[in-house]
Formats: sequence, C-alpha cells, structure tokens
Amino acid sequence: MSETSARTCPNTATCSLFPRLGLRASLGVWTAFYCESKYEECARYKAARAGKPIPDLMLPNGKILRIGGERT
Amino acid sequence: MRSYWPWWTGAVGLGLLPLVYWIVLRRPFGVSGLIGRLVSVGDELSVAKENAAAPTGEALDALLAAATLEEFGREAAEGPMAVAAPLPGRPLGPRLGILDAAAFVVAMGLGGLVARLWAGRTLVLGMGDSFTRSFGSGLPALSVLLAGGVLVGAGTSLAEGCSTGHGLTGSSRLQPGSLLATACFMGAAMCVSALLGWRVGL
Repeated sequence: MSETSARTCPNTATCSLFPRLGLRASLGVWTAFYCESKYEECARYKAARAGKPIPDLMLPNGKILRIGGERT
Repeated sequence: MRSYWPWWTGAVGLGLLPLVYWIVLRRPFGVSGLIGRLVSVGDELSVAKENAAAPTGEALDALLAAATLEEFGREAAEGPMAVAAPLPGRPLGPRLGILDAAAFVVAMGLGGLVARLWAGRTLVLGMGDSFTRSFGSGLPALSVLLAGGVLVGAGTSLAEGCSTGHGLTGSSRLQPGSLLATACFMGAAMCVSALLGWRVGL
C-alpha cells in the first residue's frame, strides 16, 4: 500500500527533480509546498499533463537552473 | 497465397509487448507517447541540449539554494522542513531517446509489411476494398481519413493515452481510468463498426 497522501503529486515516481529535492532538508520546502500540496501549480506537472518534455532542472516555479543564471 | 498468421499470435504478441517493455526498460508502454515525442522533436532536442549543459555538484547546490531563497524567503528556506520520503520500489527507467522512438514507429510499419509479405500478398497502396466501398476514393476518402486522424489525435490527447497506453498497459495494471477509457473507445468502435456493417453491408 502506498504511503503517499491524496495531495501528493501523482508524478513523483517519474519526476527527475523530486528525488533531488529530497536529498537535503533545506530543499524540503519545495516538496512540502508543491509535491505534497499544490502540485497542480507545479510547472513540471503542467508540462507533463501537456505532454511536453521537461528539463531535468526545471523547478516547480518554471525556472530552469543554469550556470550563468536561471531562465524562465 | 497463404493465410495470415493465426489471430492468437497477435494477441500473444500484444500481451507480451507491454510486459517485456516494462521488464526491459522499466517504463509504461504507449505508442501515442512515442509518436508525440516525434511530433515535438524541436522541444525534445531543446530539452536534451538543456540537460546536457545542466550544472552538477557544488554549482547545482548553490543554484538550488539561491532559488529556494528567492522563492520562499530566508525563514522558510532555512526552517526545519521534513525531507521527502524515498519512494517505495524501483524507480522508473529513463525516457527513450528520439531515435529510439523513431525506430519503434518505423518498426511498426515494417512489422505490418513483413506480415503481409509473409502471407504471400503484394504491397498495395490504398486503404483496401472495404474502405473504398464505404467511403469511395479521392477527396471524400481523404477527408474521412483526415477527420478520423484528427479525432484519434484529439481523443488520445484528451484521454492522455491511446489504445496501447490505456488498452494494453493501463488495463493490464487495472488502472480505473484506463479501464474506463478502453471500455469507451472499444464500445464506440463496436458501435461504428456495426453501423457501417448495417449501412454498407460490410
């Protein structure tokens, strides 16, 4: 039986960012706010629903982490 | 001219395909997803380029910390938060590459060609006698094909899966949404087929 709650994003099993955010306690705020709460607002979730490819380092707020600065 | 392979070989093949796909690649199988990747090849290549240049190690840690601070503020970012629990079971495998998806789509066509040639039939361009009797030829037939293609594409997109994704993969895993989707499109197909049989005498 799954231990995930009803509010947990259904894409956590396939999301490449979710395990990375779980590595450090300081990043837990991302999963608490998006993955385990308002996942409908997550840019990765929206892109997955639209069938679009998702950059590995695109954050739930839609910003992509890159050397030299983030990009939306 | 020989007959086609027995019907049950197709059933066995279709049944084994999502199972072997899952065992080998650790991914759910769906043809529309593979075709969708080819349709959006520009986006796929752009993301692949982005991923190849993605920061790692300490650079990534610093970027993540800065982004967390910017998004949530110092208090939330540095406050005690629970670390997300690790997921149970083995994780999914990586997505197939564009060339892999293209190879699969090409192989589907080749498989049909091999089955036809194996049965001693020649390659004929067209939709066959039944289709011609139902819809004629030329522009009307092309219009029907175009409308059918649009309906299939729109339905697949709305349902987030096609006959393989929902019918084979989802139904075999007893996913409620897939069972409902399969019942709907199989039911609709039976009704349309019966209607055509009654209307055209197929």
